[in-house]
Amino acid sequence: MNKELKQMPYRVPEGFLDEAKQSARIAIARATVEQRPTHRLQLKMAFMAASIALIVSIIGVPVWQYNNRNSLENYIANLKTASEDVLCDMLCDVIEYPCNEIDE
Amino acid sequence: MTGRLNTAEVIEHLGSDNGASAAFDEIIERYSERLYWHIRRIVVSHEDAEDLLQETFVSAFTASKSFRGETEGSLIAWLYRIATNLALRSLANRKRWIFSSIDSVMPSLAADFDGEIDPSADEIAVALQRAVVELPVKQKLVFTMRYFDEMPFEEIAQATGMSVGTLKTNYHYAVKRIKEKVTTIEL
Repeated sequence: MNKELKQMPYRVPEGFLDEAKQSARIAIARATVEQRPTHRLQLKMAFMAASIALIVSIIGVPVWQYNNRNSLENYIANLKTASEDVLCDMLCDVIEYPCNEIDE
Repeated sequence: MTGRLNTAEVIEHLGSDNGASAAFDEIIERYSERLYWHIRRIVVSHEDAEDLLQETFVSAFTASKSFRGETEGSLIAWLYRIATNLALRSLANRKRWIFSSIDSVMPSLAADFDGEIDPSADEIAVALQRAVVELPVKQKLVFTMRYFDEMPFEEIAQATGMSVGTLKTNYHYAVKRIKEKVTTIEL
């Protein structure tokens, strides 16, 4: 086998191999930290917190709207007779409904 | 750095939680040069080869528990497989069309080739390398691993996922093509 032919004719910066090895070692050290259980636990907790916040925001809005509608219905249901009359008069004015017919 | 690990220790440490980084210290020391040149023969550019070499080690490190081999040959084949896949993916990113073959990138690699050549390099070595750059990807992989890295076909098969028969056929065609382009060469 011709050894000269196996020499790579490419241009390379001087000392690149030592730098490449050093960079690779740094990258492995960084990957080691990222693989540690504590790091993974922190990531999991952050993910869970974000998920909970998302779920609360999705479910919370309809619940709040439902609660508000329920409290309005409860309020109307618990109106006193006098208040009902006032409300009825007001509605009759607005929709021009013959209130006498209701009384009868 | 503490004492160097032998191959058996490197392989044993690969699967452990605490020893993998020590194993990789040794792997980086031993195989950086040949993996760099393997990647560079595929992608041509020095900067790309340097980035891909680092990516190869990080990918191998994160997948180190999946390594099932017991010999240095299988370790080398595993590292070559990761390096080759990353290098081919990098070439695939250079394709103009999604559905075109990876071989469609070879003319652009050949165009980059002249800018990457050392002016003092041996003329026939340059001609050989130019012919290698222009080879279709399967032929290039088997030729570079067999001729430059002197790997057995069985290890190349592990590294590329191709059968030994296919590799031998591709090697034969690669040698034929190179001899057609570089008539003065004896491979």
